Amino acid sequence: MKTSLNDTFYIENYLQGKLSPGNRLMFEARLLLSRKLRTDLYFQKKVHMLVTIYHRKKLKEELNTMHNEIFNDPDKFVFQQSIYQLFQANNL
Amino acid sequence: METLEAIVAEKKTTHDENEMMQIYERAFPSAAVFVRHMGGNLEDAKDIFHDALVIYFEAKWKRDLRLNKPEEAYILGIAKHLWIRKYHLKHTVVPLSDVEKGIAIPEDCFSTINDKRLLRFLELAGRKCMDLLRAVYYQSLAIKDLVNTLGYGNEHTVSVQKYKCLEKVRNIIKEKSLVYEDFLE
Repeated sequence: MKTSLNDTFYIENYLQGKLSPGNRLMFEARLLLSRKLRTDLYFQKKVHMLVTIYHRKKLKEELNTMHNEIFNDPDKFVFQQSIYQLFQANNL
Repeated sequence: METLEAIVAEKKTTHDENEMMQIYERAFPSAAVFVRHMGGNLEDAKDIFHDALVIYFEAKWKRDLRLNKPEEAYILGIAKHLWIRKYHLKHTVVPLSDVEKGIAIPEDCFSTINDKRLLRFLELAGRKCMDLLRAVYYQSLAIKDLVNTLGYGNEHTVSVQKYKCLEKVRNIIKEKSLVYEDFLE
């Protein structure tokens, strides 16, 4: 593996707690010595965060589709009405 | 070649979808009653309920939940916490049961404008990588599943692709973050 990909591998396993104690110590020593590695660690954490946001966004799209299926299904008329009636103006 | 999204959709079983739909129908009414009581409309109810379901499934996936009450009770509790956080309310305005008080929701459940901006860019510039990383981290797609479905030679090749994607997305974020800093100064 190229050096940069190797670093990516180590950062990933460090973040997921998968490094052996010895490798973890060595990696933390490298972090102290390398500003680039610290920066890459910071931004790789951000990748995880953005993948989480992306996953949540896609899941919400799927839930929206499910909501439309439920509320357009003739077999679920009773359920639909029970929800619509909650929000009718004269019930507020 | 099939997109990764289509592959993941195929792997979802009818059982998974039926189960999700059952949870939806069991849990939505109480969330809707709560939102109506707080002065919200059906769209508000749908929005907060979907946010609550996302948090609930994440916690379930990470095995962060110790379920000793019905699922609907947890989902309603999450919805209440999200409502409190979204509208900056106090707990006295939204009374919580003991079970609901014990529910913790992630600090990052609502993303910032910068994050949304970055994500929009990543969806254009790094969509395939984002789909691959999502499949690996959140959709329980094992590396061997990706070998079979994406036509990679072997698991090592898929692993290397995963790390290349991590690197690519990281470098895009780094570059864009530096650009935004220039505008903020």
